[in-house]
Amino acid sequence: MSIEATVYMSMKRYLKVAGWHLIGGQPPSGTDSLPVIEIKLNFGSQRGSRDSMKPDLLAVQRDELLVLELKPRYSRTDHIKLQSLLDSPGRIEALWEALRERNIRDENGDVLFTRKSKMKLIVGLGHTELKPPLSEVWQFIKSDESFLAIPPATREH
Amino acid sequence: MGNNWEIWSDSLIEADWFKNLDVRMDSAVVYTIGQRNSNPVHIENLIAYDRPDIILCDSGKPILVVEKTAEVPTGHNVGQRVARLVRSAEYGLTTLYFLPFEARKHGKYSSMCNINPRLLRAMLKMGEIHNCSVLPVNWPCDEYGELISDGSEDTVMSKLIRDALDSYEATGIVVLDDCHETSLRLEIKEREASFPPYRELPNSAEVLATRHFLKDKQLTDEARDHLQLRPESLVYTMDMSPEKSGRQDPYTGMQFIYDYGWLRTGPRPIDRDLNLILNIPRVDLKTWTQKNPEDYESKSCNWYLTADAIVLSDGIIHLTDWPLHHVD
Repeated sequence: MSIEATVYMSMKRYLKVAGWHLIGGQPPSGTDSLPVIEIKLNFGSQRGSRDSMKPDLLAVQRDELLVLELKPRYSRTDHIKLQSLLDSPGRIEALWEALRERNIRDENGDVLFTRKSKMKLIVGLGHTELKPPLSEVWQFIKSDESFLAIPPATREH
Repeated sequence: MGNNWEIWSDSLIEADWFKNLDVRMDSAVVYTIGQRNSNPVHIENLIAYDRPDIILCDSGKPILVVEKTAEVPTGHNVGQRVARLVRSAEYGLTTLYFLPFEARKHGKYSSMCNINPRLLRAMLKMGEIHNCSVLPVNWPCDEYGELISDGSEDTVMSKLIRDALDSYEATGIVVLDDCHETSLRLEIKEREASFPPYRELPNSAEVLATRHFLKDKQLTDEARDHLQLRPESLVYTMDMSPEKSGRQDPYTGMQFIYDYGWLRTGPRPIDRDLNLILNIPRVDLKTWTQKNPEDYESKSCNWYLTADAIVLSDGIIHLTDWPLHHVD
């Protein structure tokens, strides 16, 4: 079985234990119970999945939305992908729109994303490689069954 | 009774999901389905057409196959995954297909999608013909058409797996209650009543007089005489371009839906009263055989699993035996 799948499953368990509510994701292979959230570069475009981003995991805790990309090792491509999400108001709006469209609910059955809801977006990379803190991007370093959470060097956004 | 459960899967995520459906799976060992010719023979047999998501074995003996998808089978999704269901049925295995019967498609033209009843009809017939259960299991959605993902979506699957394992432990074979086939019949009836055109074949699959269809086709006298032994043929026409002809999905799955849903009278491809002809008028024989060789080591073999002929722009491939076919 792939290390990527192991990272994915371990991260799901870690987030649940840490009190996060999983709301979406796309496993590296196969079908999971979570809905796949597609962030289109150009929302409303009929160009299929081209130019879209499907985060590996999305989770909510209180007023924070965590978007995660997972790989066995640090991935510069994923890092750039997350940074480009943070840097693009259009993409961020497409993310909120995709989440609103899904009528995603919390554990109490209340709709999480509405026009009025205010949630802070944070992004992270999950992998197994110990790296120095990254600007604006959290890191979750897998070690056995748990993860070491490394906050961004600067979290201002 | 000591069981040595083995879960064979492509995906750790799906294997983990399956393990959690019944407590007896706690002891199951998970194996990765490898590339062709790298697995035990009982697994190779079941992946000869395509790779199912889960194969449950007891001490090396397959007893159950499960397929899982979050995609609603409409449009091009209908035919995908059908070949692997057929293969499992050929081996007489109880086969469960966990999928949404309806769900919302997202995007600019967001709308509810409903399962194509032709798939359900074919699955019912597969089970009847191969004397096993081939059952769709609904992945439910909420009132907005979003798939349920709080764990409750697995309730019916868990019960089916429990019943399957109970019957296996009691009798040595997996037998599910006939009520599931009855429910499937009712589901088909209701969906066909809601969408009457789906009672019939689509426009791309017509029943034609064999002699008339073959009149201007280039084929040997022997092939013509053989095909004309059946006065009528179901001709499934695929409008694919030469450039995009090197593919199987969804066409090869659709051929099985039409075959089982409308033609098959028995477990072998020869068991039908009409020919099944795959008509690909924009592709020539040379291009076709380059892009889709009769190679039983690759998925391109799916074109050669059940049809009587593949008709191309300048010739035909006449099929009289189907070497991979298995009668349990």
